[in-house]
Amino acid sequence: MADSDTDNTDDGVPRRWLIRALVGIGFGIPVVIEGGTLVGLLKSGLFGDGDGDDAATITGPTATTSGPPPVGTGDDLLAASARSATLSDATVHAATDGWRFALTVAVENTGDRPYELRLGTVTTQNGSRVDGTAATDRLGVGESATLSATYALPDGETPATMTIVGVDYVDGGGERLTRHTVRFGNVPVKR
Amino acid sequence: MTFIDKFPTEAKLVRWHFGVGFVALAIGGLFGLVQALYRTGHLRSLLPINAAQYYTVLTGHGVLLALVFTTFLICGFFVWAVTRSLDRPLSHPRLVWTGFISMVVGTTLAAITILNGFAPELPFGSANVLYTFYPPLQAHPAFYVGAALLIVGSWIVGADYFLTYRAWRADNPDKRIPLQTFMVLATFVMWYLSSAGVAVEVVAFLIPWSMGWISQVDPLLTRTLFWYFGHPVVYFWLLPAYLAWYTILPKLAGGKLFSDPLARVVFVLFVLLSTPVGFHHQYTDPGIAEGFKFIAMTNTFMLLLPSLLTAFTVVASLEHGARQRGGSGYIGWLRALPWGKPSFSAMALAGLVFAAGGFSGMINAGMNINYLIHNTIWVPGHFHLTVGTAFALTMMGVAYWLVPQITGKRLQHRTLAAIQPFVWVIGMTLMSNAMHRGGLAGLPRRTAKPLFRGEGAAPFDPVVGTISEMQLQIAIGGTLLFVSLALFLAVMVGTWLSRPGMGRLSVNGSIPSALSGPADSPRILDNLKVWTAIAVVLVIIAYGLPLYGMLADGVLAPGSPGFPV
Repeated sequence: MADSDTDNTDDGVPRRWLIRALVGIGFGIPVVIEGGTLVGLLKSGLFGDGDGDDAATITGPTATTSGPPPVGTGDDLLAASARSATLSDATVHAATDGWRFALTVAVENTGDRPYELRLGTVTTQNGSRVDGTAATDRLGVGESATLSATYALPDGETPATMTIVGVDYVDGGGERLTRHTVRFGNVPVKR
Repeated sequence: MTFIDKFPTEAKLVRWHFGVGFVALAIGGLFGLVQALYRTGHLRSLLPINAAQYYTVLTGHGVLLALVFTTFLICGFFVWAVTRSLDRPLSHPRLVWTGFISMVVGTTLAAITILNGFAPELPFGSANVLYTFYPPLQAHPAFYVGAALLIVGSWIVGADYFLTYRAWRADNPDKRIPLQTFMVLATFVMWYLSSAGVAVEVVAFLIPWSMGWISQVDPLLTRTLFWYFGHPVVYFWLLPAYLAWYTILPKLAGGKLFSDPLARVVFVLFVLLSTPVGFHHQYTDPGIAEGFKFIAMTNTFMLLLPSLLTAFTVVASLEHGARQRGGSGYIGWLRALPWGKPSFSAMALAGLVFAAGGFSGMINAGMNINYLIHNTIWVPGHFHLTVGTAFALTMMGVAYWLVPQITGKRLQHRTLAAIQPFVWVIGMTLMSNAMHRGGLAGLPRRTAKPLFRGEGAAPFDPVVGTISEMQLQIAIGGTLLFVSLALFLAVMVGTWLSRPGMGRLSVNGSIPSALSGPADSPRILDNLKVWTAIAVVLVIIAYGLPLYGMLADGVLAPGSPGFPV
């Protein structure tokens, strides 16, 4: 006797194709999703920069799984260069008239040539880009300066990355520009 | 002869248990959809709840599905299993009705207090304490009384399983216990042993505390009593699914159970090891010596053994069935399985998903790696694979097969039924995958708005994907799960309301004997008194000293007053 939920008269060609499609989709989608996750985990674990989660994607559609480690207050933005630019403060102020990202950078020219630091575009976690034009004066060797800047962000968004440009004044009057992309860690939001 | 013709009283009992369970499933499932959409921020503005009421929804979802739906389905399913396998009616059906009424009254009380979060004009007070009801969060006393009545009702129902078995044994002194009855009795031995913890917690502490008879309770002690019950309850959910996988699924596949003795060994191991493991839910709790947490961890990993034995036995049984149907090849036999039969596909897919849940469970159980995911959304991602699929989807498969047998009505909307299990698995894959990834990123569980204060996703560090993408995936997965649930309920309601005799009722409720029968195993396996005694000793070893330590400074100290929610 057939089982209660089996009816051979229903097993025509359209129903067989329906079942085949269901099995294909029912197994295919989980395999694709879990397989993609596995590949992502392997890429992060085997081909990341070795810093675990901190070095992986922070968030947002524009963030990537590679790149420099995230920085926070007290970190040197130019750790890979001969100059020092310490992030003294970084805060998002969520006011009723808009969100502002304010940061302060303590710059010290520890190199052997005159130097200038320019703060460029901030990209938010959601991918919005906000331009900036703050820059230090030309700093002589051994000189220091404090650079503050404010960016008007779209409401509800927080900074993900910022481009900064270092300017070396070379002998003979020329300039040599070095572009860096800084990735922010958790920037606190204050009301 | 169908079950309803042979055992009409028992069929009626099963129907009522299933009916109440399905109502709880419908309401709890709706709450799940609301929860998924609100939490992820998708269509949040269209939902009729605020952030505070999110916790009402969360409590209702957990209580109605994890406690009410499961308990009613299990008690009803076991009435069928005992009656069918002993081939005799229940010895005291009125006792079962008494237990059923106790559970209904308890569920009603608890449900009213939960719904009070939406409508304060309802009787009693609110109970937004989530399904774990941890002190010092304090619910209205009616919630705790309701929970106690639900548990006690299940005890009363279970008592008749043992009484019926005793009557059968008197008539069959030398026979081996039929496998399904053995599984039911083993499950209820474990249930009696473990649910005593939550009974003590509720009756001795939470009811007097909520009534104002005592001013404080010790949160660590009550949490420990809860988790003494809280992990074995997972096996109270899973063992009925195992019963279905061992005894019904091979038959639906066209074959036979591979090994009856191995099934008995598995259930004995669960009797022994299910209870002394609760501390693995309390790795971050202070006041419990690390050594006892370590014992809980080792016991938990030992539980992998019966699960792996189950995987082997059930897959071997399915392969046997597939080859009986003409399947061949190392993998090709899978194509010969009856995937178009909803009872089979629901149970088989539930078993596959449970394997994934087992792997994430290993992460939960590891003392060191647990800290990575503790209290994150990883944890609900895990238990939606276990209770949310291994149990729930298996019981849906059972219903497709059993409801015609207990109603005498042909299954309706069969194409919808064929589609439903696959939609469930796709939805669960989407939701659970994103929950696990979110947990690795530190996304918290039990939070109405995890991306709070406008900080967005910034505090979280996903390893794979982005937080916004995970949120969307959870919302889509939760929606698909609700669609699948609606399909299931449509089939059940359509079948229930159809006229008897409408369409050909083709029911075969027989279960073929196993390839390797009980005679191939030692009789000691059937001696549940021995296994119960050993289980009690293991519980004393695991819990004796820690509980003594908690009680030594006073039963209610260090204590906390209640925070009514």
